[in-house]
Amino acid sequence: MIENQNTKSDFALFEDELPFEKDGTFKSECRPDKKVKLEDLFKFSRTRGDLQVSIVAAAIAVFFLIFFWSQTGWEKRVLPDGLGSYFAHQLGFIELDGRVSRLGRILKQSWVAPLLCLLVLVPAALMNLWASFKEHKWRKRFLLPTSAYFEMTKYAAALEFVFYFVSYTLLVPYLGYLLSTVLLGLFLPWRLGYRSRTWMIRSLCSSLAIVIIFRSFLQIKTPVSIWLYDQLPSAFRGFMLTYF
Amino acid sequence: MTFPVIIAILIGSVGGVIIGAVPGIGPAIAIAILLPATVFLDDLISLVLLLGVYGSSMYGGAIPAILINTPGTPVNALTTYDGYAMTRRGEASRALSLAYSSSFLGGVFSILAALIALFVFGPYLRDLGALFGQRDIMTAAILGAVLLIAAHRQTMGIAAMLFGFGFLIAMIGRQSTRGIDRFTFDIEYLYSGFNLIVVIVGIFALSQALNLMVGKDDDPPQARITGGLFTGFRELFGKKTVALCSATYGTVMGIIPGVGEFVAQFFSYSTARALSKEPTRFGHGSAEGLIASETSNNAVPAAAMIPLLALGVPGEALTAMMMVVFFDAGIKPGPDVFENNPDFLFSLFMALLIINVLVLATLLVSSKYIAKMIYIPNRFLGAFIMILSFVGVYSIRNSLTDCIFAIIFGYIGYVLRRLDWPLVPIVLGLVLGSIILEKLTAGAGQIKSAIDLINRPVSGTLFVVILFVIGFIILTSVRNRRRDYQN
Amino acid sequence: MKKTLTAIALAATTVLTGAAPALAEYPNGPVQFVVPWPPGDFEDILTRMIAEDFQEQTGQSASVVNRPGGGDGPFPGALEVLNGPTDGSVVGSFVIGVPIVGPLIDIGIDENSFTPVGIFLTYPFVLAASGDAGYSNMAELAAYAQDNDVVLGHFGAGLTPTKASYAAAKLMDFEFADDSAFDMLDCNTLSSGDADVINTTLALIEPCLGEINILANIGAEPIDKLNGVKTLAAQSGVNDIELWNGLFVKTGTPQEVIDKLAEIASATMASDAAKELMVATGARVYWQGMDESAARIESDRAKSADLDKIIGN
Repeated sequence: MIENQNTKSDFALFEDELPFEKDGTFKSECRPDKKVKLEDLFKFSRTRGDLQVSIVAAAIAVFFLIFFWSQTGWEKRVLPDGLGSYFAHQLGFIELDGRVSRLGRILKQSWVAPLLCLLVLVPAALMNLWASFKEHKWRKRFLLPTSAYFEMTKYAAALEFVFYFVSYTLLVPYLGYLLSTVLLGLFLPWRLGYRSRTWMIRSLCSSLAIVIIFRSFLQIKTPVSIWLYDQLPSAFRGFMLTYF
Repeated sequence: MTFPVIIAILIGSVGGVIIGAVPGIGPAIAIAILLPATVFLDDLISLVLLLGVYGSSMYGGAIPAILINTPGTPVNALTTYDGYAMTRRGEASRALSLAYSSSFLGGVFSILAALIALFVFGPYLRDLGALFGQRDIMTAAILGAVLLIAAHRQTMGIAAMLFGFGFLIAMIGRQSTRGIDRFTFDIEYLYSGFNLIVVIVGIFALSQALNLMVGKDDDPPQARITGGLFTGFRELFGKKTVALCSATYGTVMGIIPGVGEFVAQFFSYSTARALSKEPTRFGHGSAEGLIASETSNNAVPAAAMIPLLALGVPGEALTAMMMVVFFDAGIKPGPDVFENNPDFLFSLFMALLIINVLVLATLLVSSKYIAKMIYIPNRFLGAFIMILSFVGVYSIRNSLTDCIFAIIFGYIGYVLRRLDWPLVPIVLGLVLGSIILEKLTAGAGQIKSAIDLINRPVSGTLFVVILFVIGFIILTSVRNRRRDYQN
Repeated sequence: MKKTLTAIALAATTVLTGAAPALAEYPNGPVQFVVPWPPGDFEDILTRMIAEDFQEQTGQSASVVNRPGGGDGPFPGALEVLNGPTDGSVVGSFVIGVPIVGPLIDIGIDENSFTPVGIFLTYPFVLAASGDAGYSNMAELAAYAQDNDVVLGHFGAGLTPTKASYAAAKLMDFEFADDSAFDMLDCNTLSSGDADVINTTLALIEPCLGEINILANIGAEPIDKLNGVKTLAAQSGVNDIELWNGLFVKTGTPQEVIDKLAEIASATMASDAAKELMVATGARVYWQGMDESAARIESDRAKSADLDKIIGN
């Protein structure tokens, strides 16, 4: 903060005048078109875990390519003999004698679409892998950090919650929707750190609200054979099955 | 217009605004979760409810974007630039009222454009429908795919790869009556293929839930809304050119399949800045910037209905979900919808209009209360998105395996989010891919030779457009690469 | 709204009557009727009528679930019923293709996977062509097809109406140049030129009925609504297999369930609403009980095998 304008000469950065105008508003030294670049909003740069995920993506694409030959009906293909001349005929280059197979009969076969898809997918995946690898080498060359350790910890952290969701899914046929949802609805916030009494009450109310609105009121479908409800006497069983 | 329908419109609109206002939940997640729940309601009620969410969430998304620099829905990203700057100057209510009025203008503009088009072309639509056969729709879907990839300027390769994966997912399945068996590996679950809602709930909702739970809670600053919210209208009136220009962009971009809100916003923002007398203020609290972004992003939903209804080709992920909503209500979008359900179209757009008006009225009155939604802690929110997702997924096919696959897709979506890779291509790959597959099988009968694919008026024109777009992509990427090497 | 209020009322009654003896009487839980097609067609409308009557008369909630199979026709929906329980809580509303064509394709359905409760609908299934096609009955089509390409549009290559059309072509000595499977065959299919001749029900081509040519109807008798159109059997010599829809349960379901369902459904089919539907649309609505249906299925199996033989499978 400057006190008065007599110390002008101390500020070597500003030759002509101080950045503060006389009435106190700030005037930027930056050139106007450098202030906001809209492109920055959409700027994309490859982050750390990119190389690893690109490798996995390319592996998946190649996996499907390998199994294309056996899993898409390629073995049952019906193609006219003399494929080269057939293509030439289709593109209008030559005329063929006799009956020519309709192109539609070939297009209907089940392997056509996978072939076209893989023709786009596999090169795209490999090119992406190459670009990611180039970027990785560039970063290494400039001694920029390239370790993906932090990303890997983040990926592993999410797996814990995947486990919770899968357990919830497997629990519903045993304990019924009401009980499982309330359990998950209380456990997850507790695990995430919301442990005070107010939060526990809020979690309980929200999970009960979800069960009542979606299951009892709107009657969305939940598993119909529930071990816990089967232990109940018949009348209650019907009631619980319909409304919870 | 019975009483339950009115209630449904109210709940849908207000609910949609609230959902949009909570950063972390977007309309896609909400519709995915509410969709199976509406099966038991009357068709019209469920349709109107989901339509309300669809049309109103972008209004709500502006609230956190302006107040705490966090977009409520991804499409409000540009609003944060100018909106938050205004808040920092203490002009929060001005920003909010500008945002609401511009959104209203954008929405009403595109709805009116659609209604006028319906009136003008209505009598001819039935004959127009005859122009659109299977091959034409297939070409339109391919064009949508190409435009989608082109729209991801800097990540085209990744978008193409993810689109391919989405297409691959669409292909998995077995159809015994047609002799089709693709990638099922003789696993019984895969015979019926992957359901769109399972993938959407996974890739959008569950991935966001994981993201929120693994991350930290934000500490949003106290956001105060004082003063009247009506000043924005007057200001909007003074900047008619920008507003109308952006609204047109939004409408046109919405109609073109595959393009969506992001590109609409981007273009209208850039144009507004180019045309403006004060370009330097953009990004620092320019009213024109705010108007540009909000008008265009709210013009897109109504306009995106047009290719969906006319061709059955949804232009973006959200509209693809509305397609499922229509199916469940017994309406199959496509050329025959003009023949079979012409009144439906009219009522649809009228309902959207009413929703826009209702939302505006609600917001003018209760912004203060809705703004409180931004204080829900992130991780708590993530936990409840996870619980709600089970509801959304299980009800579709009564399948627990679906839920397991949903969380697998959720994990994939989570990894993609961390890498900053786009999520939309996978979903649109699934949607457009299944359309292309189906139309190819159905249209193959009439294809005698290669020229039959494009010798119809519509598919021929679209094919030429596709070639142009691909040529444009190649040209610009070659030019960019050359420029990169020069720098 | 009405459904939720009924739901609340049902809740009250179930709790109050819960004190009844433990002897479980069917139905003792909610019942689902699975229709393996998209909503809107005849079987959907009639099954919804049955479900409504069921709910009224038994007090248990009955709902109709549409499970369209997309390209795979009615089979995914049928599999859902097959994978369900045998206590009558999941009932299928199936077309002839499910018990007859199902066992022939490798999806897990056998000849006795399902037990019929009763057959109640005969579809007005027709072969239709666009109004400006150069033919208006099967003989003219046969003549036209000798020198021109005619493309058939159908719901699936293995399904019964498709087989009937191909068998007729074989017997009348002409060939379809190609065929395509669609999941919806309606006015637009003909007007946009996606297929030259389509196999479809009258419900789907209702809007343009005046402008198109109906070549033949697949069934045992001509349809009153279409005057002058003869059956496919009469014109070509194929057998008179009919396309019907019936209620089915998984084999192993107790007889009292079947009897209860039959009691309610047969009453629905005799009601005025059903009769109106019949007159307006050309569909035939009736009720054939369990034994009659089983016999009919057997004879239809033989007819279908005949068709296969003609086509040359």
